[in-house]
Amino acid sequence: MRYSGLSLLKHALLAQKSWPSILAKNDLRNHYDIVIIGGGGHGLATAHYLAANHGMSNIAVFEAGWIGGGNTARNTTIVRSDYLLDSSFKLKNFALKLWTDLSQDLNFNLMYEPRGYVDLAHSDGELEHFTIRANAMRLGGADAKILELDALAQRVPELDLGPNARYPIAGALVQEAGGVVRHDAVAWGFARKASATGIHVFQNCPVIGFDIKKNRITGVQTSKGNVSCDQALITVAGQSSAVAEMAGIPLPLNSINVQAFVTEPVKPALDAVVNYNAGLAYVSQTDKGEFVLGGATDGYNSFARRGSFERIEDVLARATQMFPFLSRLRLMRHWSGTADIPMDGNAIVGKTPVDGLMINSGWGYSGFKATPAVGWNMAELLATGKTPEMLAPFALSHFETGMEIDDAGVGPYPWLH
Amino acid sequence: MFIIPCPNCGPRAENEFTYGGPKTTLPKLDGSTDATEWQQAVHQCTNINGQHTELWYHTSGCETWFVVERNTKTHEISDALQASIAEQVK
Repeated sequence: MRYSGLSLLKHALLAQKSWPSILAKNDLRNHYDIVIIGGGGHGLATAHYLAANHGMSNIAVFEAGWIGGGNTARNTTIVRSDYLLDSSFKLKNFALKLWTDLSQDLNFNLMYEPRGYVDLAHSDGELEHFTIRANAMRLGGADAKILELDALAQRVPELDLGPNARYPIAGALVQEAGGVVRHDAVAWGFARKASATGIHVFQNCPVIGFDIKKNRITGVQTSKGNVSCDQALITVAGQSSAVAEMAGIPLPLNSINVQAFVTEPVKPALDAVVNYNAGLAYVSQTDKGEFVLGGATDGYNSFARRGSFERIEDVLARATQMFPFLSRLRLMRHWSGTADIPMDGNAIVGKTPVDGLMINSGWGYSGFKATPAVGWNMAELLATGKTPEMLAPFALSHFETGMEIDDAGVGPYPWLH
Repeated sequence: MFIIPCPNCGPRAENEFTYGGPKTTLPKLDGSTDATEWQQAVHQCTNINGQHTELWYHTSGCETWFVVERNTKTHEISDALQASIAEQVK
């Protein structure tokens, strides 16, 4: 069914009681050309682009939980491409281009809003470094502006730009094309479109093993039964280590908790996404009026999906430095997710040592913004067998070869990314 | 927030400490280690969902490193023992 003004009207007259389910109910086939393990944004986007760009539909997506219950819906909804290094920048900038008309492609309102992403610098030195980054972005074809204090005061008038702050603000890098996308709608939108093209999406169906013969994937075992397949993709975020281990592939990942929280809703006060860099805290306001806040990881290995109070305190201290009025709001909700962070902070995307088995992992907490670009390129890799140029730097072998490492440059300490 | 039982200072709040990652054994520094071994040692890690042996440093306390046994699923700490950094490089 196509969503439109007319369908809204029709279902309003029917008291909203007869909307069809967005996912078709399917029985498990014996064979799929491609099996996608993980029904998050990345996995479902891959399924969608396999159908849309390559005409393939004999595909199954297995999700251990429910659609929109994992990390896709456990982030702060920010999309941007303000990266210095080519590999990160190209992929995320391509994603930013795809986000702009994805709502039309999927016939599902993802509420993409390019509100502008404002990255604060706290010293002249930091602003110099941001200028290098802004120039690199412009060379790559993206927009980026460096704002000094007067211009910044106009762009984000709510900011406390006083000289008495603990870490006074010196200026900012602004990417106006950056913004927010409604995160769970991304999972639902891709799932609905994939399901409509005949792809089977199974929820509450974890994959429990792989069938590998002569170093080639031949099938996967799921809680609903075994299926044979030509190719498979592991795209399970925080559970990557455990799932890849079932196929005998060790991954250089650490699973670390990342949390985010939301205040009570108030009237519109902030129209940009603002990031504080002395420490880390990012703030935006939802359409409902809540302020969404996030910060650094909890800083130690964890699968608990339960945040530490220390980080909450830390993020709020920084957020109120930027926007003192936030101190009068109460936190309403709080959630956390397991981020899989590799030793160099750069994602692992591409082929594995097992033929026909692909991996997409290690996105840490920068995976959401890359969702459509990863899906697009991963679909190309699965359909053609050739690694697209945009994915090449993210090959599993980039650890051995010492290729480009991450933008933050913190060294092999994943919990610091 | 969890409480870490420092072997020197007793039970203290998490924010007094710095995390040092999983306890690992690094290869020898005598020239006999090849690039592949180093690559493995630096990048590969055991990403354990459960009982985890890890290093913590008491930054705002006794300023020593020690080894903690913590469950990454529940954050429960079962053991904390004094260690020297030298123990990492065998």
